[in-house]
Amino acid sequence: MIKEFLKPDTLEQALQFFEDHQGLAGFFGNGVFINNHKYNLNYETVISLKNLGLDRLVRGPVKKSRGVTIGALVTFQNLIDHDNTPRILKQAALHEPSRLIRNMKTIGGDISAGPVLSGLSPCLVALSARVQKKDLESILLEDYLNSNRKGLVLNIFIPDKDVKCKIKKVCLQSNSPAIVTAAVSMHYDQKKKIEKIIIAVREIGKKVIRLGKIEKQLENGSINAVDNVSIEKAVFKQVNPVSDINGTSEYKKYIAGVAVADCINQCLA
Amino acid sequence: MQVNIQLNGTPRTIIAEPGDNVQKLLRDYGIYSVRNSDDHTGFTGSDTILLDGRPVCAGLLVAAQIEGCDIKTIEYLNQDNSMSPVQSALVDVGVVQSAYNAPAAALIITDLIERIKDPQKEDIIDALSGLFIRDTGYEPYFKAVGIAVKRQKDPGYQTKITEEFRDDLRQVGKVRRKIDAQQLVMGERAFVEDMLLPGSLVLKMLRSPHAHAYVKNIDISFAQSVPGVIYIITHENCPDAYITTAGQGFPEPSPHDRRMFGKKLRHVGDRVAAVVAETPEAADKALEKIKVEYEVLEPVFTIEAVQKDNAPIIHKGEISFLNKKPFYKGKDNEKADPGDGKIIYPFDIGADPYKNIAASVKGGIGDISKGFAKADLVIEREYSTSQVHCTPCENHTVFTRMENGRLVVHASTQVPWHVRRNVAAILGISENKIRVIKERVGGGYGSKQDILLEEVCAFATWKTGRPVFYQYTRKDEFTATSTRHPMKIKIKIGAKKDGKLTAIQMDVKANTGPYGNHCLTVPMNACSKSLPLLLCDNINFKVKVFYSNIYPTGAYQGYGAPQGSFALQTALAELADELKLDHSKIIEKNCVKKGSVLEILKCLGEGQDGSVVKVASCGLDAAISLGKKMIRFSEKPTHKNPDIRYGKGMAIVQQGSGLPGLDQANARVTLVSDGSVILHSGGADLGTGLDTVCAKIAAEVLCIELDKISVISGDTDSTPFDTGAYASSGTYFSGNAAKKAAEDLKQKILNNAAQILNEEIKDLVIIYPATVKGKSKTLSFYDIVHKAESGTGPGQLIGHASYATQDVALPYGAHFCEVAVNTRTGSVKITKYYALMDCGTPINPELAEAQVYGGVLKSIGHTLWEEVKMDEDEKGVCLNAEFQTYGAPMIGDIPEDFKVKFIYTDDPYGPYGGKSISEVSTNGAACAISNAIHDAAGIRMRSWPFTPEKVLRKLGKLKP
Repeated sequence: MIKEFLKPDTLEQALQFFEDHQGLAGFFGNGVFINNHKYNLNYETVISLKNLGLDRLVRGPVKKSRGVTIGALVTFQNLIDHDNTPRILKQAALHEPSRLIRNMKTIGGDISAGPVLSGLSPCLVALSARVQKKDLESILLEDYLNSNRKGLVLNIFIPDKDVKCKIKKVCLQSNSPAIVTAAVSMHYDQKKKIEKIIIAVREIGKKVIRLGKIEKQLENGSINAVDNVSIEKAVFKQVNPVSDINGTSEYKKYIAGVAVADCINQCLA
Repeated sequence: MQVNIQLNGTPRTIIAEPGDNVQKLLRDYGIYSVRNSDDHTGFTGSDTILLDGRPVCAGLLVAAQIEGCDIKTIEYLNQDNSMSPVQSALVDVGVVQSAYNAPAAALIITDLIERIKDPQKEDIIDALSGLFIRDTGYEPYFKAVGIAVKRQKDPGYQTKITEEFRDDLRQVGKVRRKIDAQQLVMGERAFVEDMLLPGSLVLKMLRSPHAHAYVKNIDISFAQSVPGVIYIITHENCPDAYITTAGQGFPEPSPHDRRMFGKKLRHVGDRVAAVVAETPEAADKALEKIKVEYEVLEPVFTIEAVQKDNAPIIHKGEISFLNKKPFYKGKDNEKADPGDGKIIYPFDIGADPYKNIAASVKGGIGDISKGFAKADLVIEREYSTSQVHCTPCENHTVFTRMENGRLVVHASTQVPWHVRRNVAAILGISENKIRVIKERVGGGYGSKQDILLEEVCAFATWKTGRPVFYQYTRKDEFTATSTRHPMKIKIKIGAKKDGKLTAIQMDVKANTGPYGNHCLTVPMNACSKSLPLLLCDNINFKVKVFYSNIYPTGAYQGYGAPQGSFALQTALAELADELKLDHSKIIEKNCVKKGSVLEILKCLGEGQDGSVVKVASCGLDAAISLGKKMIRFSEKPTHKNPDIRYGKGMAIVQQGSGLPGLDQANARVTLVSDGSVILHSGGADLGTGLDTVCAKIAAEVLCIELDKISVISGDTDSTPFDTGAYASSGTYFSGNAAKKAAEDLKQKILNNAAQILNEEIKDLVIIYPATVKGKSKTLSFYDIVHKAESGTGPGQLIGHASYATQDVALPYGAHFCEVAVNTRTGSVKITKYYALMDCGTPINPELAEAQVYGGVLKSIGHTLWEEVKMDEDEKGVCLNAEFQTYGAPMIGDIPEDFKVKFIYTDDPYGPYGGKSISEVSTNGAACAISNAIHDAAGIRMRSWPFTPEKVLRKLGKLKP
């Protein structure tokens, strides 16, 4: 149970609090994960980020940039409501089915909860999102998720909000967790030859993975981007999910292939 | 710490720990409307508040983070003692039923219409996306939002809510506000948890981690030393009494195989010990300190496995008989293991517990062999169904206290009198020492027909003399309440080329799990609520029910009929297919009609002999005909995406209206001193509007305004006996009792009026409002009661009646659906679902309509998504004991086009022609959807739920 709730007014103060607690305190946005006992986070001290001005979503970091910077405390519902949010990210935020939770859950909290719990991660990876930590240093979100994820996430930067990107969530019913989420972004030439593609897939309970081999095959043309069967087969081979209550490994492999192929089709459409 | 907030417009300072849960804090602060039904995991929305203007889950907030915030709850919307436009709209469309989440719905919709002036369907779905509603199927909320929007501008706005019935009647068949709805939608004290007294103790349960085990040793000494622990109950100090948890009839058809705590544990989550303590924290600490040594036994879970020669035996206890007459071989007791306790049989149910057989029965009519011999085609198929949870919004809850040497039980129950009888039997005291008060029930659906926690809490209060509160967690709900029985059903069916049925054989094997509550009757209903739909001279059925170590089963809306209907009607569709006949034609050719004689029912009595029934009313023909027209049954649309294929399917359904020959209801109607009326009904209103049914019926008889009648119900002290709300008995039994009691009062009113007017009774008539008209003069009820209660009067005017009957009133229905099957992903989307229901006269049409939506959506849930998933390493642990992964449908899952229509029939036995509704509506979805999938994709789904993975396997996209 939380016994100490610290409310710093500056970033420096927040980081000092964190250091004072030897890294054992938790950064606290709106508490959707920390307050939910099923995640067993059990922090006794938390550091609220409420007063740090991290609830803004702006174009930039440079004016007229094609990118957008999203403060860690921007909620999912704010993402959906904001004009500057990339449309695909709005769709990803809608994958959290409950508006009540979307009013609470923040993008920073989602990412900080880790790759297994982060619902936005496939989309953000596909968008080449970067995570900005203190001193404005930034790293690729994909690298952040694969690291030990220490330190406070301040902002998420999406370099090109207009990139072609599609996502697909496969779930049993409207409010059940995604069995598979696939996200695909791409650049292609006038003849629709793929120049650069990112394929991110997340299986429930697992972290998001890149299907690098298939990305290369699509870029070099060894897999035809409009050949669903080949894409599905390739994904079936590359992903390795386990059987659990959400389905057998075979089903998950199959449906991941379908999801990826659909995203590619829609990007090219 | 001090937390300063603006609570419902008023600055407040709350003293709290930083990590205190805000939902709990608000309750402690007297805000009852903010409830917890998901263990604070943010799924159900019962804990919705507006935080700085946005709806959020209070259960996911801690005290420290709300400092300086503006919090609004439903109490803010309440306009003095009246409802806001949103609240009244919800009441008017009939969705304030079990109502545990009604305040949350009102808050969410208020936020919606403040954000969007004219919300469209998708906006409403989005707004309600985090709210779990089990009783009314979401569809009526669209209408409610429309009314609320208009009522914001024009508070007096009224519109037609739904079709009304019976022009000859003033209240029955008309849309009227449910009489307890305002209290519920305004979040007033209503549920058991709201009755808690300061200083109450809390009870918590230690549950078994093993599916099958003996408690070898239990040491509670460390736990007892935890400060604040008052009492600990185990198998060593609990009463040595055996009951069945099933509240049904008396003597019950279920075996008494359950002790409050036993040495033998039969499922993961079975009771091991209960701690009664001053605080939840102390109870939790004590639970950790109870040391239990288990002797772990091999568990067994499936119908196939329990039948094996060397299968573990679930009940090896001593067998005895309630009526002293042994009907099972007494020599079995030589093998009895004292650690297994006892089984006491009230009567013969065909059990053989040493072979894991909990019950069995068989019967039939005609000559089944000859019937099959006459057939041009005979097919045999097997169908299976999964275990499904009731998931009422309000968790099982009880609060017990002493009052003047008597035990008072505040219960969320469908069966107050069964609770009293069982508690008395266990405590060894007479029933006059116990009062059971059924509070408002936040959803039952069958699971509150079982006595699952009341007796433990009652025992704790009886021992300690202290008030004790016990509320299941949501995890308890998923592991220790009753569920729908898994079944395997074999159907053999034969017909002539023209589709005329010649023989039906139905073999039901059911898994009752660890205990035998409802073990005979639920699986029997798989037959008794499906076979009588078809007219066939040769019918045979066999039912065999097995004990196992799965989670407990019991009653769930439909009570075996959903499983039986799924099997029989899908088989009928398969038969039609092979005969190359239209499915609807074969139904029309063979289905029951008004006047049909149902001979099969003579062998399908529940624990007693049945009787042949002549169908007194039946709207099936009209329902089928209208349904086919509405859905354009013979047309098949196409989708631009070739992977998506549409198909249509149908099914017919029936249920009963209570249990004639077994059930009884009583009512008392009192003319109050000013001429108004108080109706005391034994009926247990579960939120379905039974009190309103009774009030309307009495108002109709007495020609009195509805708001001049108040109903007091379900209280074993102050209301007369009623067997309870199960088996769709409410309208038929409690409603008829109210009618008879009102007629008794009416006669007394006329008798008195005759004396006052000095006229013949035959010349008097009661006219609206509350007036007796004679030849010469009229008298108001006030005039009559005033005279009756005077010093020279005959006394207070009270009508009393008991209702028991052999007459049968069967509700019917035809369900039609259209599905879109994505043959690439295996997903099944229900694009249309039309339920055409014959419940005689719909007494509360808007409530009945909402209940049908709810019943259908529940059954869509078990057809497509819901199931208890056990671990694969056979430990008996439920892997989806939470809402997030269980699969109960939410608003995003409802059919795109969802309609309910009533087919009026005038039943001669129902009160004002009313028959039951709600339960019957759960019986159609599985077969209608299965048939629609076949129509769409050419595959037969014979095992529910029809998950995308199963569909893909049938389609050959995955290995079979």
